[in-house]
Amino acid sequence: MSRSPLNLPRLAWRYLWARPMLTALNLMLLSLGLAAIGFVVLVSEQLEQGLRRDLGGIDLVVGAKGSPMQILLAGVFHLDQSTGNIPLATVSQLKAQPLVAQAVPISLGDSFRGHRIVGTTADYLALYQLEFAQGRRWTGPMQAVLGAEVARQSGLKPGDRFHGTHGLAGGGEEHEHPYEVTGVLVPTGGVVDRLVLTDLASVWEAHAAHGHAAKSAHESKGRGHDDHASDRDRDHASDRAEDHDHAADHEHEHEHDREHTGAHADAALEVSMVLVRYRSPLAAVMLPRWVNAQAGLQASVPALETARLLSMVGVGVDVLRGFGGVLLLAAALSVLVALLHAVRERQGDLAMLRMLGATPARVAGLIALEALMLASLATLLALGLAHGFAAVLGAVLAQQQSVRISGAWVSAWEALVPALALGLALIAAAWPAWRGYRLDVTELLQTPR
Amino acid sequence: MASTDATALIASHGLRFRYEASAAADLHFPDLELPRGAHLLLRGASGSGKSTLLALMAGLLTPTAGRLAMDGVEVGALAPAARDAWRGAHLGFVPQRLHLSASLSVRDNLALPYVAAGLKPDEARIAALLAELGIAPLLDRRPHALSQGQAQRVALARALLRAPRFVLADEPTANLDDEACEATLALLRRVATEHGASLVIASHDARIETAWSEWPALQRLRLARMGSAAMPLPTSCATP
Repeated sequence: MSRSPLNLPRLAWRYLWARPMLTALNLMLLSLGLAAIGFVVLVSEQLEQGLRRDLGGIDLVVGAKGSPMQILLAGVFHLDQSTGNIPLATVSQLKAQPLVAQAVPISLGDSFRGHRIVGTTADYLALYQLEFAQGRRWTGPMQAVLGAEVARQSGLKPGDRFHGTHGLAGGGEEHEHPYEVTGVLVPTGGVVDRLVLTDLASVWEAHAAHGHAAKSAHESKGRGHDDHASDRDRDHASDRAEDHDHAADHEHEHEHDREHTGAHADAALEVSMVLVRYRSPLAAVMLPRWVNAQAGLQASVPALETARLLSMVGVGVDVLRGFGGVLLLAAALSVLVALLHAVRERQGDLAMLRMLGATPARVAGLIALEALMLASLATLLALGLAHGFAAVLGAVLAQQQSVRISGAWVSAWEALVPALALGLALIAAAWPAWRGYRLDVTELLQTPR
Repeated sequence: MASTDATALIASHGLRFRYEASAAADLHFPDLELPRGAHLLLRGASGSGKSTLLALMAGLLTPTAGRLAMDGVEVGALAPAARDAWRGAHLGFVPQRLHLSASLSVRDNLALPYVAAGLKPDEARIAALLAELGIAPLLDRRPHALSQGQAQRVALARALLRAPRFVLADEPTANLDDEACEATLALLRRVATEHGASLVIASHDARIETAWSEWPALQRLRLARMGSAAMPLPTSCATP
């Protein structure tokens, strides 16, 4: 018992904890409801922010025929297998379109300790505005740039070497040719942090060296489609000759590649997907239609697919939000009942307060203060819980190399939590406070029954 | 009568109160003039209006007709907030069931008169009063850990803290055995005299009459059973 003199807030506090079990129960109900709401706010906002960052201005993803959602998940968020391969020539065809500002090919299929190795061009670095924390970008095949998270987990530095494994999941067959690290990227908070970027030609080379005769069932299990095994005729060589500098580079690497591995020489060069940025809004109308009209090509419009994705995630969000709402309603009712009960139970106390000179407003204020204190406590607990849950979810997702969620993320919408808490507390306290206000003090004078 | 209001401690004239709920309960109170330094014993069976008169004195009810002045102040005519403030400052009240808050220690119970009025508790005064009433060591106890006599002293201390002009006690001796009754009455009388407060005791306990039969300052007011007559019965205002 504190020795500090009593005042109205302290009195409210004492009364609040005069029934510790009931108060604890109400506090728990309120906190959990509010935490669910806060958690939804934190996670959905981070998801959307993450999606937006990972999209990085990509207007269209072109892949092999298949699900547009899968193409988006594989090509942009690196969460799924690619739908297959498309000819490298597609890149130049897309670049030839006047509506296209940028077309960046990516090639998937290998990984390093669960981190995907993405074969691409320097345009990819520009597309995501990536900067180097150490070192520089690759200049030839079998050189790689590590995302910040990959570098942190592996401890690799520029100059170090590592072996890629076949397939996107860990445990695949290791490629013989090691990659050399040339640089490490600045953390972005996006998916790039968990990627290994390399030259397009590296992927071809790795697979040429891998020895395609040894291709076995586990590979096709590891990734739905083999990206480099096609025996497609190399009739696109002429297209590639028209490619811009980078493609010309690849051509060069490829020639170099072919010198080493004759087995690969006949394989047509393929990529997994092409990331496209539009030059004009008109492209949104024209380009997807054109792509889908091409044999073997599938357009995936991130804006549409993310909207679909979010609406799918949205069901979960709505369920959680509804759950939080129900908890809050239960909490509000429980607080209401508890306060009503408290007012009846303490009718004598409250009447005595009036008798001792307290105005009705003071008595009503005492009851409201009790509710507000409960709400404030619940708010603190709820925010702590929401951030804690987000941190736990973030840790689980990080282990799965999935979406990045942080417990430290702070949202302006979290103001919703105290606002809801105070609003509910005031609503729940209104009736009890009114009864306190209207208390019949003369009952003190009635002969006990 | 108005001229005597200023000098009389309690003055009532033609006082009536009718409860809204039941038209039958129309109470007429006998006229009364209690001089300064006097104390009042309200007698009457239950239902005779003792409680109503106490409530009128405390400003909890407003007279339907007539007037009641407490130390020159017509409490029923004050604005609600002013009534509450007046009650807190000038009226100590010892309810029959004492109504100490079970959730609070004795110390905090005694802080309530100050908290109710929005004042800072006067710790020194609380300590002094408890010492005077011989219950200083009980400061940190809860009411349930007090004996009946101790609890009554705490309730009395609570009534006296803000140095009131009046101390209203409702059936202070009910449920007490003769010995405790005697002790309580002696305590009330001593404390009222020492603190210069005027006791107003509502009781139907005949033992009070007997115990205080030789107290010259005590006036008696007998209330008739409610509804027996439209006119008040003659009062037994025996002033020895």
